[in-house]
Amino acid sequence: MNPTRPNAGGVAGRGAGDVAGRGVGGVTRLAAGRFRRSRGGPRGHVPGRDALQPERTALAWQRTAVTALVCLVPLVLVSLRTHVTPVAVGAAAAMAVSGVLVWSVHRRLGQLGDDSRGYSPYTPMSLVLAVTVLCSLGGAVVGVSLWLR
Amino acid sequence: MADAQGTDAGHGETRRPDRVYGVGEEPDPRFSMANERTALAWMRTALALVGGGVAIVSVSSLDGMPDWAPLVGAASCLGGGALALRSVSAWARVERALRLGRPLPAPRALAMLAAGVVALAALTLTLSVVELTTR
Repeated sequence: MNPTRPNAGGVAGRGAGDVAGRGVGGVTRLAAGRFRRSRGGPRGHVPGRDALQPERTALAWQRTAVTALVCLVPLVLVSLRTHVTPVAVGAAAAMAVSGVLVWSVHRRLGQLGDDSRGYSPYTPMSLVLAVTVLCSLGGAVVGVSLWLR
Repeated sequence: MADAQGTDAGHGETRRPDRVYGVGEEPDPRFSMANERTALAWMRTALALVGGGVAIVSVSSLDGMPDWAPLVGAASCLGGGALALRSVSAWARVERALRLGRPLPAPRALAMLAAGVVALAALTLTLSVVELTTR
């Protein structure tokens, strides 16, 4: 196997995260096929769907973090428009937390690729929960204050 | 690297919460990751409810909107918050069941979500009809 072409040769024996981290989508499979045909390299082992689990989990985190960030934008805007300043400040703080979460997903991806057994998703999940609950309470406060006017 | 009991953090961190990771044996990582993704899907559903509620509240601040609109938005926001809390507790319960080798708990949140959404839709429909007939 040519070590400079990690996706071209056999990947059997590697961890699932290593495989997923390098990307085993259709594009890389095509590239591996092309390499086999052109260079006559060893027949590659296409891993099962389980190997993509870490990548799918990391993408789920990314989607959740981005959703949390996007949900807060209208809350900040409406609370500023209706002059409910505490909610605007809280939503802005929650946006900062969501931004940190989006950034920290890179770390999660690295951990999933390395060894997912020693990891607990509790802390980032608590952060998402805090953002959601803050956003929820902020929306409820703004809604009730609008109704009372 | 985690040991057989799953008590070693493996990344220099303590695994929390103890009520989940302090019991049983380390399950297949695929099951743990599937559980994590399910919890995240629930969290996104909760965020969608909250986002929808905030959107309703923001639209109701415009002139000519019904008086009850902000209340529907607030209810949607609170439902989303409750669902988010539920998703984390469900993740913990399922992870614990996986570690102990017990049957997975029933997904009761699905029925609760369906009931909540139907109730909110019925409330909105009723209030809209009342608004149209009294105008």
